[in-house]
Formats: sequence, C-alpha cells, structure tokens
Amino acid sequence: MLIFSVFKTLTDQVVTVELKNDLCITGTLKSVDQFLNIRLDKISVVDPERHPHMMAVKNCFIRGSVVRYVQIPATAVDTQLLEDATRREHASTHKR
Amino acid sequence: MPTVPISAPPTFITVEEHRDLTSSTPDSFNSIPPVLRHKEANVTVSLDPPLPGLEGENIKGTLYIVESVLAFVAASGSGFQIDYPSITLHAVKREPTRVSIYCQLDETPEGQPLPEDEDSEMREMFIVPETEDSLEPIFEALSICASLHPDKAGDDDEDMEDEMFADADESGGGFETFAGGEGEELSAVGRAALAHLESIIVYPPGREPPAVVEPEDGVNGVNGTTEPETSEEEDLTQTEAQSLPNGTH
Repeated sequence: MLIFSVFKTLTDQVVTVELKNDLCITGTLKSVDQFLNIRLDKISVVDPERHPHMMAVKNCFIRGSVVRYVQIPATAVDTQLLEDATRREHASTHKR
Repeated sequence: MPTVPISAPPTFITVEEHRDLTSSTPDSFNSIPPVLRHKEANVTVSLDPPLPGLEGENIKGTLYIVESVLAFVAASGSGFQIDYPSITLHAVKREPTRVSIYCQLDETPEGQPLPEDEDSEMREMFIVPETEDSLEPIFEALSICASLHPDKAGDDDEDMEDEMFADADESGGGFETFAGGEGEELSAVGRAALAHLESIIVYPPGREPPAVVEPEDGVNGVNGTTEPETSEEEDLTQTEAQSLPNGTH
C-alpha cells in the first residue's frame, strides 16, 4: 500500500519503467492502481534499436507484475521520509 | 498462459444482462457468465510471430474483450484467446499510415520460472479497427480487464499477513514477550529501542502508557508520578480477577 501511495504522489512526473523483459520506457506517469499497473503518457523507449516495436506509441498501460524497476527523479521524493515511512509500515504490519 | 487457439467465441453476457442478473441476489455467483466489455467487428489482427494454424498477416474477424479473456474469432471460424496476465503492456500506436492497438504478450509456458536470459518468449499483436474512433474504447476496455487479473503468486504482503496472526502462546511460537513483570528489566539497548518505538507511536488521547520506570533513579526518583498509575493498574486487574467468577454464573 505504501508504494502505491508513493506513486500516487508522483503523477505527472517523468519516470523510466524497466520491465522484466529488459524493455525500458520513459514517460509521464499518468496513473497507478493498487496492483501498481502503470499508465504512461508521451513515452519514448530508452534503446530504440533493440526495441523497434514501440515506435509511434504515445500512451501505454503496463501490467504491474512485469515491472522490474521504476526510476523516479531524485527531487521528487524525500528518501529520508520514505525510509522512515517504510520502517513504520513494516512495524505496524508486524505488530503482535 | 500462452495464447490458445479457439474455434468459437467465449461465453459472455452484456453489461445490461449482468446488471439485470445482479439486481437481486442471484441463485449462484459462480454461474454468472463474465461480462463483455467491448466487442469490435471487422478488425484486422496481426501476430508476430504468427500463431500456427492462423497464418497470414492481417486476419479479419471480431474482437471480444471479455472480463475473463481477450478473444478473437476470424471470419474463417478459427481464432485465439489470451489471458490478461500474459498481456505485459498494451498501447495505442499512431503511425502515419495506420492507427492500431499494440499488445506485447508474454508467451512463456505456464509453470516455468521467470527466465533471466533472452529466451522468455514474446509475441506482438496489432489490432486495427475499421475506424479510429474505436481505438480509445478498445484501449480502455483492455485496461479495465487487465486490472481485474492481478497476479496470484505469493509476494511479500501475503507473508506478512501470516505473521500478523501468529499465536503468541504456541510452544516454540518464537515470540519472546516482555510484559514488565517482576524480575524482568530491559537492557540499555532494550530501553533505547523502546524509547524510539514509543516516540514514533501515536496513541489515542487517554490511552498513553505509564512512563518507563528507570531502576537507577532510586525510590523517590524522577518518575515519582508513575507510582499512582501503576497501582491503579494493579487494582484494575485485581477487580477484574474478582469479578470473573461472578460473571460466569
């Protein structure tokens, strides 16, 4: 739930999504859902020669389960706050 | 699951039929057929690599976006269906010559672990409707149906749920509990950890716990105010213990 909330704060930011099949797509994060399915706008593929199929694609919907990494701008998130929030969430879900 | 050949459209009901069926409690929830989210006739579909048995670029037929599967039946009567978990991504592709829906499909056979090397099989599908106006509805229907099929594979959250319900008094249950009773004292490390945890916990008003009693502070120490509170708690437990036998009558 925490990562879902983090992504909700990142809408309209430019992110790069790396899929488990090595495809890397940069685009504007339009929306995210609880399964971390991602909609990107105005996308561009990081390595077009290796992945020619995505040319002329503007918007896409990426299934959450195929995402390996999401690269977000360093200025978009406070890593200290995020670390604390992650620890607190972990502590609360492991409460006896 | 990889793309499966079919010879007839899948069973489905329309949104209206579903609304009628569920307007009152149905006899069985399991027998409600899945809802058709979008149907598009006269689409042209191309698969790369092509499906054996469905040769040729550009096959004309009808597309059925049902909540259970994505299906296509060609004019010839043969077709295929795809499970939504194998659609890794779908997009609207706008080229100067044609506009289409592009889908990337994961064709690794079921049961195989996710391969690290290049060999994970992939298929691409292009759907070209008759009119450009159908593109957005097809894209939206695919997005809705994709979000209806999250992965069932065990992930971190599932593990955590089991731990939440672990029974503390199971023998060997593994939880060492500290209840602040007689003879138990926190070490310096333990006290520091407790202080940190207390600082990040937000208690509802009126439910704050008593302040920690520091043994080194002596009898009349800094925490003189804790004594009345702890004795109140003791009284409470004693009255509870007394009332219990009466309560069972």
